[in-house]
Amino acid sequence: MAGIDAAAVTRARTGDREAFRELVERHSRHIFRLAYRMTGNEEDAEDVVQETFLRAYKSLARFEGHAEFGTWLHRIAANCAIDVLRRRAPAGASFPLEAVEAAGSSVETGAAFGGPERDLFAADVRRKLAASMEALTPMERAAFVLRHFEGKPVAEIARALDIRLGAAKNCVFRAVSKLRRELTVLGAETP
Amino acid sequence: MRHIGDEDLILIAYGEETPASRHVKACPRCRTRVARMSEFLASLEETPVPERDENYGREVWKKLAPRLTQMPVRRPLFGLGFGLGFGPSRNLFRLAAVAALVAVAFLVGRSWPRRPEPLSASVRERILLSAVGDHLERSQTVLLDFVNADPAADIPAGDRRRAGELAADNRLIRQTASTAGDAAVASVLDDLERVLLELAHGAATADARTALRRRIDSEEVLFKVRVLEARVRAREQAPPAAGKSVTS
Repeated sequence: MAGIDAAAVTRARTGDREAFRELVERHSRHIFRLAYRMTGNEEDAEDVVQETFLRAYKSLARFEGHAEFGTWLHRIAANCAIDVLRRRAPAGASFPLEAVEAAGSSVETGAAFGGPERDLFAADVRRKLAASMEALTPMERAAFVLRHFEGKPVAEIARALDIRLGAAKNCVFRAVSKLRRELTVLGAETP
Repeated sequence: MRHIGDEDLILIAYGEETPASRHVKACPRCRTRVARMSEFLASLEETPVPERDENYGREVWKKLAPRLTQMPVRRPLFGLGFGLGFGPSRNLFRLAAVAALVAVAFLVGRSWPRRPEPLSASVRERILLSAVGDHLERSQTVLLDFVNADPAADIPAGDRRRAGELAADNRLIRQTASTAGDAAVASVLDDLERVLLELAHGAATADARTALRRRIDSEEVLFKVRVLEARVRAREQAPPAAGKSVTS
């Protein structure tokens, strides 16, 4: 894909809109997945997808080809998602208390269950994790999603978010610590 | 024997190599901690991402294309990019956006009918405390980053920009604290602001950066900010009580 991207990028940089269309069609689904993971809802994710390609189009001249186009796009999307999260209410302010109360039944550990009960436990943790993610700052949420769900090493997260390595490590650390604390409160932490 | 710190613990549990990885191999206690952390991380499964079919890219393009019509690609100028939204223009945009927001807020405040049920004082206070807590948290990250960096290396432009933005936010919070008569909080924020401004615009030489690190250390700026954040977070979690400041 990198080779195909390179040819399309070269043409797009000269103003060839069809070439940029190729890139949009090729990368949209991947960018949507990242955007959804970071924002947690479809409407915001769709906005992030549009904004990502707009920014990419405006900044094509800045893309020098040192990284793959997909990686560059990924960075733009992560930063667009952070902007969307920052525009939302402050972290914690939108924490859905009803969801917490509804999730009141304490689940001690998934390891003790098997079969359908294990699935129920996993669904419960997923729901509680989604609620707990609201307690993270935009930067923590971005760093956590990139590390946990996208499997990016912390050095790449630092580059993507334009922060130092130490700051990226600290963001991942704070995110995991907060999630652990929140999930413990919600009764979903594994022992 | 020095055991691994929490940051390394998490990274190792994610499978990353850090200087502490070797210690983990030799230390049963740290291996147990890593195993427990790995178990916790493995339990964090995500909510399924909604599927988008093969036509999704075409749908995205359909919405995007009209927005690109009036937007020519900015071609490289002597090999240098000059895309919008970066560098000094970003700050100008920020200022313009803030000015526009203030103007809109003013006009809306004058003409919008009063809401029948405004946010209660306790809800407003919690939102404010949450924002202040996040600000202090972000400031600590920037300060820690600077304190732990190589004194010979210049402060990266991104860090300077962040420090400048934090200093601007800090000024508003400090002024609010002063107006509310919270002298102790205002004093901590004043110390923090001077450091943030120095990070944003000064400390251009290795000597200046060393001096700033000494000042952060001798004035216990990081410690004070950490204590203040802890108090703000505790206040945020506490049941509503009227007329209580973060220092009380």
